[in-house]
Amino acid sequence: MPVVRGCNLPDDLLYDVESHTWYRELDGGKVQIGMTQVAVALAGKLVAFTPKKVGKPIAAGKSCATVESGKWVGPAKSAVGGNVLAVNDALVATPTLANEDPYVKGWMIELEPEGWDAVKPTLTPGAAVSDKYEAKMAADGFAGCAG
Amino acid sequence: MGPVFRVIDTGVRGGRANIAFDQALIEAHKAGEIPDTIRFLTFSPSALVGRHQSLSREIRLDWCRQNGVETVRRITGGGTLYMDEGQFGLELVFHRRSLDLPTLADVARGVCESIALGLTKLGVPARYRPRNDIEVEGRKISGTGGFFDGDTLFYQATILVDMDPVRMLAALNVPEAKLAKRALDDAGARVTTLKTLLGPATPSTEAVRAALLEGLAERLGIATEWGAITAREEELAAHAHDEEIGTDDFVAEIDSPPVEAGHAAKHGAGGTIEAWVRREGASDDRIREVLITGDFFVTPPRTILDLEAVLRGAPVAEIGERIERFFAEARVGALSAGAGDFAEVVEAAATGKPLSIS
Repeated sequence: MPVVRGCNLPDDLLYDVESHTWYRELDGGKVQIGMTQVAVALAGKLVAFTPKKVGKPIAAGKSCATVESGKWVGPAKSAVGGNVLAVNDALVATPTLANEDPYVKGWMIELEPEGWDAVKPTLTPGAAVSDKYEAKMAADGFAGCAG
Repeated sequence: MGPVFRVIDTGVRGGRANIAFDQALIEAHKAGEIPDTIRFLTFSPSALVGRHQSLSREIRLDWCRQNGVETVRRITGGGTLYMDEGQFGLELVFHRRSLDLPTLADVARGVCESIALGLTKLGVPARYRPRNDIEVEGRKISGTGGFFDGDTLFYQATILVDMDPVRMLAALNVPEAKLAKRALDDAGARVTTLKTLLGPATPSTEAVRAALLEGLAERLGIATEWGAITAREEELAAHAHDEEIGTDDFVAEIDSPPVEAGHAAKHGAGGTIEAWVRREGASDDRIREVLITGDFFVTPPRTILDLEAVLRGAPVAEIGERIERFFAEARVGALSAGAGDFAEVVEAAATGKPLSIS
């Protein structure tokens, strides 16, 4: 698994490095979306996670959830649009799951994606994400994932 | 010379319209349509919850409806506010790399210290109190919160010039109202205003704003230049208002019935310690706020206000640990009760756990 500045980036996922989100292809054409370890390291300990509601459509490039940490709020953006099929209620109840386990227990939403075949090539596969994330971290002055 | 921030004043607006303008600033900045900007804003009477707070838990909706107070959901985090023409807001929207503040915590500190510096220029000994407040002798005079979206950062603060505590307590579901009713405490003791501190010598709003701009320029190394609101900003604000922020659906997006603050009191040799605690979070596992009062003796008196500030937002499970650490690190002159007594009462108020002696 690639590790960049102490941040784990599993190689079986796809990444939108600019938005610090990951994508996992599920059976039946569904896509699961979450925040990278870099995103939660930047945000700090999460105190709130509010996803869009199940059944609601989201547009590509728009927010699929908001998160809060230390009075800072930010959107989690989805590179792909579609209908929300499921939200992670465990993450709503315990937002720090994203800090503890960003890639498994900390998933955010599952989508029925629209135009996935066109969006997928714009994402970066885990096997090739290291250089791109290193460049992003360097540009942003990001020190790394502590611990 | 450092980066130049445009300065605008959007005047008095309704709460939802003001928050919609926040969204417009963020969108326009992200699109490269506006420069880094400082905005001054004023609210017609409004009760504002933080982005992820429960509306009915925080705001007395019937009272607000009957008294012409608009209910609003902010896009930033933090707690509930009552705002009217007695206070004003100060906001910055800027590129992440415009200021030499690498993390969100650095931004919060930098802006809060700038505001404190500005207020000291008016003769008010204001200080930054981590993580997000500016205080004078332990009493809050300014609260802050932020929003981040890619490379655009947005940070806002309230400046309490004057305040009507009766209206504030009536509009919000806060335990201070209980203290006021029982005359146990000065309901306004936890906040202060420029009018309270400076009396007739309180400067004009223009002078306060000028001092704050000086503080920002000095602390953040920026230059400021007054500019005009653009038609594009108003267009984006109107759209954000009509489509989301101005709608009842958005304001009530997170809503659950009001919950009474937990209460506990302990009478001991060192005096009576009494605490009210409200919890928050999807699992009710964090402290929204704590009020501690009683006839125990402590110096300096601000110690208890600082303790309340330290506990705000803390996990309920960590109450004891946080209180022990606070007293171990705080410069307490004299204290008639022990740290363990405070921990026991606050834990009891938060969880309903029985007290050893009550």
